[in-house]
Amino acid sequence: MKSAVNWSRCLLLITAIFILAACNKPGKEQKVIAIATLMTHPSLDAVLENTKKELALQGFVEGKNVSYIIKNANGQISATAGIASELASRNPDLIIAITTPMAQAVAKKANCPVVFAAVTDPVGAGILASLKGEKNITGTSDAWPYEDQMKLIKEITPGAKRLGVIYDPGSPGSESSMKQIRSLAPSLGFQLLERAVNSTNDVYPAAQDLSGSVDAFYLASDNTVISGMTAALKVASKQKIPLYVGDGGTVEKGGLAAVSVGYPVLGTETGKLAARALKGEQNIPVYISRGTEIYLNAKSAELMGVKVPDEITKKATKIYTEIK
Amino acid sequence: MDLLVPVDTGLIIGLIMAWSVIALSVSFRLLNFPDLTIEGSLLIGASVYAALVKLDTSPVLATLCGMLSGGLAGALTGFFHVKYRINKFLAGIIVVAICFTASLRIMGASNIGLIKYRTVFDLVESFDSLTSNLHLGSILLLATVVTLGALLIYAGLSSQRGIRLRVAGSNPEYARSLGISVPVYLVAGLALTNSLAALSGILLTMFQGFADVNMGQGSLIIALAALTIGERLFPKTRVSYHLFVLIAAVGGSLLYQILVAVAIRLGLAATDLKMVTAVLVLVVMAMKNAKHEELLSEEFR
Repeated sequence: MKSAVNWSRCLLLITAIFILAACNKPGKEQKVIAIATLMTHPSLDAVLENTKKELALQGFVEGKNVSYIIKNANGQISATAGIASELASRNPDLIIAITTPMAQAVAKKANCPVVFAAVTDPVGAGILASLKGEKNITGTSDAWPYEDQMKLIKEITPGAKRLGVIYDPGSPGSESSMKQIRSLAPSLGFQLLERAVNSTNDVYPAAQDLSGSVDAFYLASDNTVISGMTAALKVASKQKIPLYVGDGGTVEKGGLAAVSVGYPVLGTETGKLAARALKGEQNIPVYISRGTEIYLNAKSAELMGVKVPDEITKKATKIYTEIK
Repeated sequence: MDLLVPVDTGLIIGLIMAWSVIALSVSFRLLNFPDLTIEGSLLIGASVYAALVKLDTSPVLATLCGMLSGGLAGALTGFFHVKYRINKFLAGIIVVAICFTASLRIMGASNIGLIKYRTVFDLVESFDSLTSNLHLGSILLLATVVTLGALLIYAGLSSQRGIRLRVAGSNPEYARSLGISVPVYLVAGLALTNSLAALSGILLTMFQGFADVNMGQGSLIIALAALTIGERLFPKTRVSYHLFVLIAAVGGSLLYQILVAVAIRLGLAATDLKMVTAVLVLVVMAMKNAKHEELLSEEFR
């Protein structure tokens, strides 16, 4: 009995020391920001760098009034939980979590404000309940900018009204992306013609079948369809139908044009949110990315008989002149 | 003209897939070996072809190497079965798994695009461009090759070795009593059929302009459905059994692919594509069955 009392006293003492130590740290002058990222990847590194840059612009300068603790899971999703609890235990003023698995782990463990970055679907991933933001958690989403992509179709080929969309109902995420495309199409003046495929081998027949009745093809983020993209490209170039895709890599493989999330911009926006959170603001709405980077393929444009307007060419982040 | 598009696509894909349907029908019906390897040999043929073409090898050489790799896969299945007494299905499954990994290694990626490279279809490009959305040249070319190939296989199966092969398949006991080495014929037969399946993969890669590590998936089911339709629709009694099997394979492949293309065209609730094809096959079978019963009952009357 007696020893138990002693133990609880000891614990109390230790806790008190810790609390004192916590109070004793530079406190309001010196902020500690923890950053957790999933892996080294050009896009994610751009987010990290630009977040820090923006925070410095907002008055949180590294080495002056801010110190960073940066942890990288090196691509191991199983390591995220460990990193999250380690960072939480160091009582930072803010944790920035990059990528969906990292954000999920951090949101679960953190007891300070959290700003996530590059999370595709924060609500679906269970990180917060609504995009309006929660008390201590907000961030940026890199959801595909379907609206900007479809606006780009209008800008490059204003005459295109009937849009041929090919998707694989069994591919993860394709149902939610189709839902967004379907809801956006009428307001932008598009009529959708959909074809479902079950494998990459079905892409050619589907594209061939659509070719007689569409003004343009639009292949979004569907893995099966993107793998079979070349088949659609064959149909598109034979029949001079513009083929729009959803990311720069696919444009390099022969898609006519795409607009995608600019990760540097996403980093800047993350930095702005982080600065607001550090100043004590709560319930900050989630920032949804816009399509800021335009990719064009001049060779495909030539094959499909499309003249890309000069103002688009000028805005383009990258123009490919060959099909890879 | 637009209405002909499903027929056009159906004919092309049907003629390309005809090789794997022939492969299945010969191994299944004549060698009595339900060969699952086809999914793997189709894939490995395509990936070897794609990888070699990417290295600027001549397309002819690449095609031969691709077919050879498919034949190797088939021989491996046969070897596993006769040497280690592995169940026929399991031997096939093992080789399909080997082919998947091997293809990933050979291609160095899950997907290779080849749109820049010339293929046999470029030779008939001028016929293809006669019409805006049909492929008359490609169809003619593929049809000629399939007809010639099928005739060649028929001649081969009718030759003395071919007869031995068929005996080894249909009645191994009898074949053994005649002094035919059943294991050798089985391995050789599977090597031949699987090199044909590999040809399907190679032609598909040429036509679509890419090879993908998932392109073999489902090809066995397609071949089986096509063969079943063909066997139901073509008369069985007029010709020798091995000719009937070949005709059923080619005819069934064409019919099945046209039916699928029409189903795609009808746009029947896009998500239900697989169900639609299943129902189509069922309907064909049921119709033929009903007719058959009528005839029977008339005979009995």
